[in-house]
Amino acid sequence: MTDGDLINKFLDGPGTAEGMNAFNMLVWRWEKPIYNFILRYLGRRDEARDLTQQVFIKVYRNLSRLKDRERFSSWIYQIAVNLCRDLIKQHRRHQSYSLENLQENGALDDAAHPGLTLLPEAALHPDKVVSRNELRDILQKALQEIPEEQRLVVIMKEYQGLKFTEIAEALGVSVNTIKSRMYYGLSALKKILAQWQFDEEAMLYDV
Amino acid sequence: MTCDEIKILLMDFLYNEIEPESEKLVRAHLQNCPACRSEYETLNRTSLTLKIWENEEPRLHVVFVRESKSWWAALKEKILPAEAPAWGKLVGVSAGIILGVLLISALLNLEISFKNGDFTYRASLVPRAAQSGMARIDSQLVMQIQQQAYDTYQRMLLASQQQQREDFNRTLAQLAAELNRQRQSDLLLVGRGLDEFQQHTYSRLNRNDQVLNQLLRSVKFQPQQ
Repeated sequence: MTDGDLINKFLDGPGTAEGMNAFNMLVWRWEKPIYNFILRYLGRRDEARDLTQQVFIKVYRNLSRLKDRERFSSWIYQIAVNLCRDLIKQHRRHQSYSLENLQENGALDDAAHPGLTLLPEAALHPDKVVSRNELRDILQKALQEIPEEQRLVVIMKEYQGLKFTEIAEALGVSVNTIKSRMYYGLSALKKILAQWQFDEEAMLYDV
Repeated sequence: MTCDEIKILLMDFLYNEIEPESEKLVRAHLQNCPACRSEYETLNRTSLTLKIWENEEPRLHVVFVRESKSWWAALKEKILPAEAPAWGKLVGVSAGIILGVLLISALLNLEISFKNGDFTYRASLVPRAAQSGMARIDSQLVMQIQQQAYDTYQRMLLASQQQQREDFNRTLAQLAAELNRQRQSDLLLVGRGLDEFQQHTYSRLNRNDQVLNQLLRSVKFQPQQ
């Protein structure tokens, strides 16, 4: 069953048990990609969890307005991006989050949930788990270092696996702009990781 | 093709979204330009490095449930369904208004009379028959009812006081028993402690005594009587 089928089912009977099942199925399919997308974009787990819920509440309320069911993917990313940008603006207005303290909070968040990302096969090698988490934290910090527009494109391409045309549609800019942001974002990351002497070390781990 | 021009195409090439013809151009350029080739390789490596950060479990546990409609909304939906035709809604609303007017008139005991070509209206919260009958209520009956109510009230009060007293006594007795038990066990413990202390002291004295004796013997010192 495609996303389109689920959406149709939900819109046919928004109040019925079947409609709700269809919608929950949609949530179940999308919560992981959306959560990880927001997490990488903002770099904070608590906010990612919060915003992911908000995204689905928005989807629930506005799904009937989505004309083209096949464009659900770029539509939901659009919602997520808008919510994240609102939050970033809010932070800027309150000035309560400098970049540094954002990262620190992110790291603290990890410490509070050490078991959060234990992988079943990695759990057998405790030393490797630590390294993996360390690598992840370094990448999380590196992503926060590059400009917001470039970070968005890099995340959508690298982690969400969207095509350049899909990213352009979700962000409402031209495909060439997206590609150039991708290029500059990737180059910036390359420089940052090289500065931190991260390249070779990271490649020791099988990716 | 210049190195600057290739940058955008390089992105297409990196993520396999390139047209076959452009791919040929890019491959040709990469073969001839070591700078672009090395850039492509480092970008590719950066892209692979990023993949180390795997997806995490959101642990959201979000479930959407059916909205529960308020009884008012449900009633409205029953009486005036959204898909009803306009005239149907009109009939429904006017029937509701008429019902409402009748209900209010009944509550206000509205009387309309027609006499000698005049309409007279009369409305009051108390019905007319009751107004005149009220004065005739037997004062004795009222007293009797009051007395009965008073008696009942007194009995209930007494019963409740009795109940409270019993509860209080029972709790007190329990508390006393509990305290007694604790005191006994405390005493037992104190007694045992004292015994132990005594034994301990006694054995220590004994040992001291022995040690002193040995000491005395070893220095062969005889105390003078």
